[in-house]
Amino acid sequence: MARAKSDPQVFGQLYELHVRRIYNYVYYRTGNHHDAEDLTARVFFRALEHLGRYQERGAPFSAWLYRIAHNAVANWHRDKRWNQTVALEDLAGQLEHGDDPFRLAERSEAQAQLLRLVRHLPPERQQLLVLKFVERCSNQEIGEIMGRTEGAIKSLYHRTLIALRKDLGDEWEGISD
Amino acid sequence: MSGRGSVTRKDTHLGPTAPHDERSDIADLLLEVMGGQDAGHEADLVQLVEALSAVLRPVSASPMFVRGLGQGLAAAAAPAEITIGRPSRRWLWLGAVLSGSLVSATGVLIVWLRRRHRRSPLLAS
Repeated sequence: MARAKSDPQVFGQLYELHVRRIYNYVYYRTGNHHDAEDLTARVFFRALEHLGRYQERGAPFSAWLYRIAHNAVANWHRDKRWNQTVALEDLAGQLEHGDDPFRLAERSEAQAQLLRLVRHLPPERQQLLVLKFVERCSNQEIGEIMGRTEGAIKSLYHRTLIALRKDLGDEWEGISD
Repeated sequence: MSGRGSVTRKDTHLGPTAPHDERSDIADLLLEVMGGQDAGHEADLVQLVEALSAVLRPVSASPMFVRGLGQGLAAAAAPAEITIGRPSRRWLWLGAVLSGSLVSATGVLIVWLRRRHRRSPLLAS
C-alpha cells in the first residue's frame, strides 16, 4: 500500500482488483448504470487524490474504498433528491448490460416488489444487503466497512430481514412460491 | 411451532447463488435472536434470504468504462510523481511573500526616517 502512494502502477493494480466490486455496490445504491459509472469514477479519483491519507490500521483497503463510495452515494442522493418511487421498470429501460437483475426482476412482479422494498430501506440497511448478497462479504468484512462489530452486523441483518418480511406482507406468497 | 432444529437444508431451498456463509448465518441468527421461539418465521426468513439472493446479483460493468477509467486514473496519477517538488514550491511562495513584506516594511521605515530627518532641523531652529 505504501508503494501505491508513490507508484501509479501499483494503484492501477488496486484499481483492477476493486473496480468491479465498487461498481456493483454503487449500481445497487443508485439503480442505473449511468450514475454507477459516474460515481465509480469519482470514487477512484478521490481515492487517488487522498491516497496519502489512507493509513493501514487493520482495516483493509477495500473498506476504505467502500467508505468513499458510501459517502459519494450519500452525496449523490442528497444532490439529486432521489425519488425512491421511481419505477424499476423505467430504470430497467435504461439498462444496457446483460445479466441485469432489474430485467430479471421484471419476470416476476413479486421480485420487483422485493427490489423496490430494498431500495426503500434506510441507507445503512441497503448497504448491508448489497455487501452481503452482491459483494458476498462476510459479516466481519461488512463490519470493517461499516465501522461496526460483527455482532452488530448480525443484529442489523436480522432486523433488516424482519422489516423486509413485514413490509412484503401479502406479496410474500408470490415470492415464496 | 418447531424447535431449534427446524432450520434445515430442506427448509431453506438455498441454491448455489446464496452467499457463502448465508446458510450458517441465517441459522445462527434465528437461533440466537429468536431462541427457538416464533419458529414459524424461521422458514419465511430463510426463503426471504433465498429471494434476496436471486434478486441481488452481481452486475458487470462495461469493459469500455473499466478500461477508460483505468487510463484516466493512470494519466491523473502520472503528474503526481512530478509534484514531489510541490512542498519546495510552497516554500518559494512563502519566501517571496516574506521578502515582499520585508521590502515594504523597509520602505516605510526609510520614508519615516527621512521625514523625521527633515523635521528635526526645523524643530532645532
